[in-house]
Amino acid sequence: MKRSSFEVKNLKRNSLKLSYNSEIMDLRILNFEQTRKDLKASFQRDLLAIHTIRTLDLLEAIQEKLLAQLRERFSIYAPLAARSLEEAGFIEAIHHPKEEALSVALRNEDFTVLESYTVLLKELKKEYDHQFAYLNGLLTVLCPRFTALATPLLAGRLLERAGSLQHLACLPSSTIQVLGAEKSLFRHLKTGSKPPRFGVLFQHPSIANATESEKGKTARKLANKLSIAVKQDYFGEKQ
Amino acid sequence: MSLESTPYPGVSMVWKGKQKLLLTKNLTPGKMFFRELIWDEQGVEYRAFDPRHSKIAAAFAKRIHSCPIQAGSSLLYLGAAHGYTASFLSDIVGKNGVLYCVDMAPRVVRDLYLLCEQRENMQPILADANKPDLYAKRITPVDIIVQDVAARMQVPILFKNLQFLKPKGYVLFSVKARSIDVTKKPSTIFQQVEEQLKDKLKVLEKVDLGPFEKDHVLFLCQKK
Repeated sequence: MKRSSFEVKNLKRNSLKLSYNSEIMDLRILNFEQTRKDLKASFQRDLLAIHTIRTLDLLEAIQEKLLAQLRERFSIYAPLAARSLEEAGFIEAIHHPKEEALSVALRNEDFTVLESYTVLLKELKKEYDHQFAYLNGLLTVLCPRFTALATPLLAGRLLERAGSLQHLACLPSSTIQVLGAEKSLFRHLKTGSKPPRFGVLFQHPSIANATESEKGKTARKLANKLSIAVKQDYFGEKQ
Repeated sequence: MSLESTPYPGVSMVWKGKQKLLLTKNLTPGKMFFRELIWDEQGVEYRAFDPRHSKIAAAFAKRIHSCPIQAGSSLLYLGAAHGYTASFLSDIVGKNGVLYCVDMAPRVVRDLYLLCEQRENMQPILADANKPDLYAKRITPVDIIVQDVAARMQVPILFKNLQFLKPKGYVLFSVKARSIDVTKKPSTIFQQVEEQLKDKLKVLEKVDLGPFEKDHVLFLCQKK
């Protein structure tokens, strides 16, 4: 491989014999001290809310998976009960299995093992409620108006997407409207396809309940109000 | 099987089966931080520098002609993140060099801090590279600036930090087209960036980092 000669020359001239001098050692101590201080100062309680919403999403996904598999497993014995009942009724059916036309012969231990499985589900649900209450408490202190308008779950999700309350408060409402629809937004910017009407905002009851043609408009209005609310919460007086 | 030399100071190469490994001598033998591959050559510990994780390594793999980083260099690394690349550069500059690692995200600087504690020649700085005045007093003039920030203001950020570069010092500047403008063609952006760079720097090389990094180019420049 060829290297042009002037570069090599300059490299040599430039390389300093930088033996560890005291100035750099002093800077090292200063830099560590300052970084420690800055890191501690950079903590905001909105980070806790972001982690809690991630925990909630994870708990929900785990519950869904466990429940789906439990249904499949119980359907060996009672295909009808496994398919049709609500979650509470389904759990009840596991504890008191009724024989169906398609029921196969199972032993007692086959049922007891399923019963302990349902205990785990119950615990997960309890933990979910616990985490949710914590999130609600955090958000009501951090951004009361925003949380009241958006519902705690949606407020948490928007916060997660924005990265911090400060960043969220600085976003224009048009960005809040499409948070969570980045893929579709960038496709729109690149190819000129239809822009997204909403991102994670679609979970909000006012949008979920709107008629198809009103969904985009509702999302825009909601995003407007949300952006005002979060700005008030962050920059304005505390409630 | 033995180590082969590369055109880059402090970097060796070895074939592991069909795979080519870039190696640097571990400054802190026995300690590793990123689950990188360790290569033992006659009792000396080397660490494998993965082009898929580092843009500098990608530039080596894409055969950039020369690399100004060598033993004893002083470096300012903007956008050090968790410190993966920075740790290998710290291997290269060795005990007589120094690396000032700047990043603005607290989460990654936490990892960086713990890494720097283990490596004498690295120093962490939690700051926005776009506001160099805030850390001007915390660094000394450097031989080389390495910049890898994914921000729209990549070029202005570099220009603001040139004040820390010694005369005839070098810049390794990785440009991410998608951060500057997603709607424009990457090649157009790279040309514009090159024009901008030419105002203040001598552009020595331009290396496309594909397929390791999509729509990235690494510029090697020298201060006029």
